[in-house]
Amino acid sequence: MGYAGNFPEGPGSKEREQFDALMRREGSRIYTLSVRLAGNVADGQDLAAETFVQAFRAFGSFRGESAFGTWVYRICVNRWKNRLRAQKRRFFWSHISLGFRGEEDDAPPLDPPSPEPPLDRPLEDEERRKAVADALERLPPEDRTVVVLRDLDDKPYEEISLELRIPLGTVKSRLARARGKLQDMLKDAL
Amino acid sequence: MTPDPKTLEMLSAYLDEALSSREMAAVKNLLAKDADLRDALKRLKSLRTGLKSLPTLTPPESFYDRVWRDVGRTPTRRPFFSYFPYKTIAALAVVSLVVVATKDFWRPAGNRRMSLSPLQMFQSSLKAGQAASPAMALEIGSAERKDKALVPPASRLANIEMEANREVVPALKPGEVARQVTAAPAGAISVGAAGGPAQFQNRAASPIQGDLPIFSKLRGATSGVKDPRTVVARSEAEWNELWSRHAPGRPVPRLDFSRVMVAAVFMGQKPTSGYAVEIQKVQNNSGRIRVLYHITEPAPRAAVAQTPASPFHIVVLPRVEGDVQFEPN
Repeated sequence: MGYAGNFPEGPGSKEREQFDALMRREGSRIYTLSVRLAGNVADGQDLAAETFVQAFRAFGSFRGESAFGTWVYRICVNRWKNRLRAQKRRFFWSHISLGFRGEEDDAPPLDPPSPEPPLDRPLEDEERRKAVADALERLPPEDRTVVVLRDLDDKPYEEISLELRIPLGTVKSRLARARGKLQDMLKDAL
Repeated sequence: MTPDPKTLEMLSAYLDEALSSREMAAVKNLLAKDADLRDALKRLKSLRTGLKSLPTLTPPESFYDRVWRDVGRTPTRRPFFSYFPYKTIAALAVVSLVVVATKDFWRPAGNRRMSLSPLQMFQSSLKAGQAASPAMALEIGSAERKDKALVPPASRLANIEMEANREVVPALKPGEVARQVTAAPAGAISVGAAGGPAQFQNRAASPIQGDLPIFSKLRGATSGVKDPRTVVARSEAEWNELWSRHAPGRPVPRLDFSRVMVAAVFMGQKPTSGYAVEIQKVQNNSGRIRVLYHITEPAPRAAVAQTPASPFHIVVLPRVEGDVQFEPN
């Protein structure tokens, strides 16, 4: 299936309907991925929406060489990587820019993981899931990314390495470190 | 208890079957022997189960509406001026400022004087040195390096020794010697035959007035003396001490201090090449001896070698009693 050619943006067009159907098919997956990567629903929604908007704008050049879901998944991960880079830059400049502050500096700072264990008693399933989700949210974004790709989406190490453009050894060590942190945070919950 | 990072990494990769078959076998062996390790692996599995139990989220209908709304918006373009790297330029300016402001800090401790140019630093040091006695002026900092590269070549040592001790004025032509002799009080200097060497004879009083002849000189860019100093040596002991600090380990040129004296200017350690000092003239005005020297320093943007230098100029003069003042010329 190919989608080459100019893509009109007018409502009701055939391609628009086609994209809408594909988006709804992959919606849950991309939405979940976005929320897990971002660590919260608000940022996750933004990320997912940006992903589909970018996918729609590039839909004319999508040649169907990979599945639509894989293509959009990659767009989502790339946008997330760009966000992380932008966050790092903001973090850097917010410390040394000597008053050169832009609007984007109003964004909340990176939230470091809390050292305290979040829970102090055995939990029921629903509560346990919430504890896991909270712990995942508190991980540093880069650690969270490898955990999401590996443990939630079952991506092999090699693919994670390619997607994130980091060496295989870094994937291994980062994943182990992230799992160690999660274990510490969830030691009473699991 | 969470295992150490290496063990955790090994177990984590084992759990994901991301180890080679040999490594997998090795870990299996370890697990068979170590109950703690088995426990750690169990916790990792439990964590993964917990992560996998996280539900798949379904976006609300409003999410799709938002996507289509956002699609309808014209993508905002960054204004052209936003590409101007003003933050980078500001950061570079700050870094440059810090480098300029602290560059003196990175110099060797002996030369650290804030907010003074090298010439000012040197001149202020010399003023301080002039107030002290010659012996005090010989008080040279202990941060001297016994670097062989700082030592003048043996041929130059032999030259200064020979020229000073043969008691002649090799740089002067007979006519010039005659003029100086005429200017000097009778008996101060006896001149040899026309064209022959001029013999200096020591007198108790300051015998020569006006410009003193410079018998011999040693000038260079690397001295063992790392602090700005002016030095007068009128005795063997002072000369030996001076020489041992200027060129440690090198033989001391023999000078006859009943006839000669030594005046020296050391610029101290400089961060680059391009600095020089020259004693241009020594004058005797009724027992007040003025050593006029000239300092050269590199132009602000001159290309200079980034190697430390410690320029110096040592001159051998006819012995004259009296106070010696060093003055920049």
